[in-house]
Amino acid sequence: MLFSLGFYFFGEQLYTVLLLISSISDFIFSLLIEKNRDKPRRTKGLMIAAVAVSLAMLGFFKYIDFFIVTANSIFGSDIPLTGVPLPIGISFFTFQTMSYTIDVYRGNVRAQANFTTFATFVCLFPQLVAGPIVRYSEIEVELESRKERVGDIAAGIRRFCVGLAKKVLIADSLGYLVEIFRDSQEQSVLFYWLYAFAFAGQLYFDFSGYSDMAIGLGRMFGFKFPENFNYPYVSRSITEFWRRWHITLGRWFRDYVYIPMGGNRVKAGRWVVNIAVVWALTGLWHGADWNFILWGLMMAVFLLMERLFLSKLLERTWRPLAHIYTMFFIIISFVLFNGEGISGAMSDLAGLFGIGGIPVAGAESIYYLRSYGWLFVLAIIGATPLLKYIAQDKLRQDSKLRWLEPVLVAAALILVTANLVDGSFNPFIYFRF
Amino acid sequence: MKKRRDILTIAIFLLIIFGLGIAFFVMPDIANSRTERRLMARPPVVSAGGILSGQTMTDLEPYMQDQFPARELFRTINAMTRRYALGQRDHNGYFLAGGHLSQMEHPLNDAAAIENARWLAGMSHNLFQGMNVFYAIIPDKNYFLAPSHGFLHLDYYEFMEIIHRYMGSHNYIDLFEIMSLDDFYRTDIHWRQEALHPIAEHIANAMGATLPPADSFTSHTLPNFRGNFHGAAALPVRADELVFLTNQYTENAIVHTLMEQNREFVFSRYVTFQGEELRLGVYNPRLFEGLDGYDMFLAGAQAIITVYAPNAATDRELIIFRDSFGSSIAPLFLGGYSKITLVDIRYISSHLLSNFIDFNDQDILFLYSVPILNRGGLFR
Repeated sequence: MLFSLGFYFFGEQLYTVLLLISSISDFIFSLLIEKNRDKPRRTKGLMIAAVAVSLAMLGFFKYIDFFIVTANSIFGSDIPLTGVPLPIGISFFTFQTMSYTIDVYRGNVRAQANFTTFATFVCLFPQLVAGPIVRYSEIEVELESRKERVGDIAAGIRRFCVGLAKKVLIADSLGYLVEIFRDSQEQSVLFYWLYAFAFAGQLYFDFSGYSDMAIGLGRMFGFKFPENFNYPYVSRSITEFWRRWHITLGRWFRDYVYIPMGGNRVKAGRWVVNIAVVWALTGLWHGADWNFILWGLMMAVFLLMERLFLSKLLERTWRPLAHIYTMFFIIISFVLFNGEGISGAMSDLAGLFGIGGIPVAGAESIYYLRSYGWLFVLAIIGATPLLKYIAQDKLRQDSKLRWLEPVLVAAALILVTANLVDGSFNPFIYFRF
Repeated sequence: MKKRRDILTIAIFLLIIFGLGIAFFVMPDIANSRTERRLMARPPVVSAGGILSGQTMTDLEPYMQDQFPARELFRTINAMTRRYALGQRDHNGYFLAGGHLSQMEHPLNDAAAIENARWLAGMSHNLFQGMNVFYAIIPDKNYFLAPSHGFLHLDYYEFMEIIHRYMGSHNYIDLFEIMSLDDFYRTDIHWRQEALHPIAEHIANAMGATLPPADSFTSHTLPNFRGNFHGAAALPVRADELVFLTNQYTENAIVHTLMEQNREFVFSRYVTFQGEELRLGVYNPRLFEGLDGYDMFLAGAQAIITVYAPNAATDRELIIFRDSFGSSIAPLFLGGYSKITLVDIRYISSHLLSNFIDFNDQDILFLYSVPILNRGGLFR
């Protein structure tokens, strides 16, 4: 626990207190729930109070300025923004503590009586800042006693290196292209699509890379965290995509919002509302702006359409066509997701389709297509299970090739280090004296 | 078998992580980087206040990156991976083509070009009435390199159109037509002095001056010149040689530079280098050992520097408004002129020039490279 707190303190000095308050709050509320198990109304009140504390923290630190901007635009008021910085990982640790308290309230887990053990669950450094959203029940046993085995440590190292390489070598490189696009004066259809593909790749390799690192680090220390991504870009429908993308968030909303609202065991109208609410909240979880909410609602529309009629059609459709349908709308949705507000997102979407009379391509877009072509090919291959298949079914089965594994670990570490070190290159442009 | 492989994986992982960690602590800190031409980050101050405010952690990161063991080797590994494994054509804008390292100069910053041309024209209007004013633009090496190798580059035609439009009636000396890629170092942005005599002669002819012939110069070579692109690109490219040319005028030249002493601006014959006072010459080989070897030409960045050629058979004077390229070509004008003044208005306000220079009947030459004029806010 101390190491995890120190890890968090390194990046967030003041907000370490917030992390502790969140831990203390849910620790105490859960113990009180456990104590009052035979008083349902009281336990419900305690659970609601615990969730309210978490939501209040999240609401203030993540959404207060969004609420103020929205209120100002609706009511014409002039409430000043707070400018309060967003604490690292708050969306993750508040969701973990809420799930814990709700699980205690539901009787799914027993309240942890040892604060150090509980705080370790909340602050556990591998997944503290970027998930996956781990439930207490998933690591309850390991928090108390775990064994670090050679096989697990090696597997953890492999997974960690894969995640690190995904994040640093692929996601950051694609992110650089996104920056180039944003800084460029060229507006062309090709450049908008390059940007859209680059951002979709960046988002996946960044987020899944962090999850891989977390899972790998956890495994090195004897924890088994849940999987968070399962090659989402091979999906043949939006529904399948969401079964493969940020899995722990999807199941959180399913178990703690969607099902309590009645899920799909309600009238059609209410079911549509349930879906819309869950996905608007999912959008809002990703960021405090209207384009995130719109993005969530767009997902809701597709999920509803697929549930009502599209999925049957997709099942009968030629498989590559179903892939194209899924990727097309997922990429479009990520452009909306990454827009600078609603107007910026709409402008980006218009650019994808050449609305506004922009040219098909320009010198810059053609140049960067050529320059980043191989990276895109690697990213596409890396987004499929092909490499995993080769690693598991070919490399490890071959008595000689299996020794490549430590070599690949070393290569990944060296390349990542080289990339990070080069990232600090900061020439003083002396020749421009 | 599986266990042995797992142990090897763990051993390699720990070796790299802890090996680099131990090397970081054991190896002495580097004070400055020649490749980046800057001082490297120093260890952060560790104090309770610094830790609580996060300042210590903020300072720790650049320090660790700057002092990382085998930093240059890792940078080269990354640059080669990007180029050869990922097929990326440039790395942070730097590229290798035709044996030359360069940096993409793109896009055209028309606002900056207009601002700079207007600035020069305005200064000319205020200070040089009735004098012979010339301007020459030095193409960057991308003019010769980028279009043929498919790299991004300026629209040079439009760029020059802007410059001509705002420079008005001043006499233009075209360098684009007489220069080639071979006039530049392979690893640096600058032109090579040993290639400059025809260019200097071309400029001098346009101004009506006669320069000493090419065969009056003697070549001297400083090996292992790693230009600014060498460090920036981090690719394993052979270093250049820096050749400088001397003749009777450069050897007997007297050089003064404007500097601040006791809150007063004075012309001095000395500069300080690594704590040592050096007598200024046209060439200063000691400065070749500094952060930028190109500083050996007229001591690099100086606001105003005057070069007298006491044995010149003329009393003509030349004032060059210039960037760094001017340092290496100016010595070739000695003999054709008895006094050359180099002015860099990025280091001194043009409004103060009359305090230090008596403008009367000198020839005036604006000599700027494309990358400078394509950037705004540089002139004072």
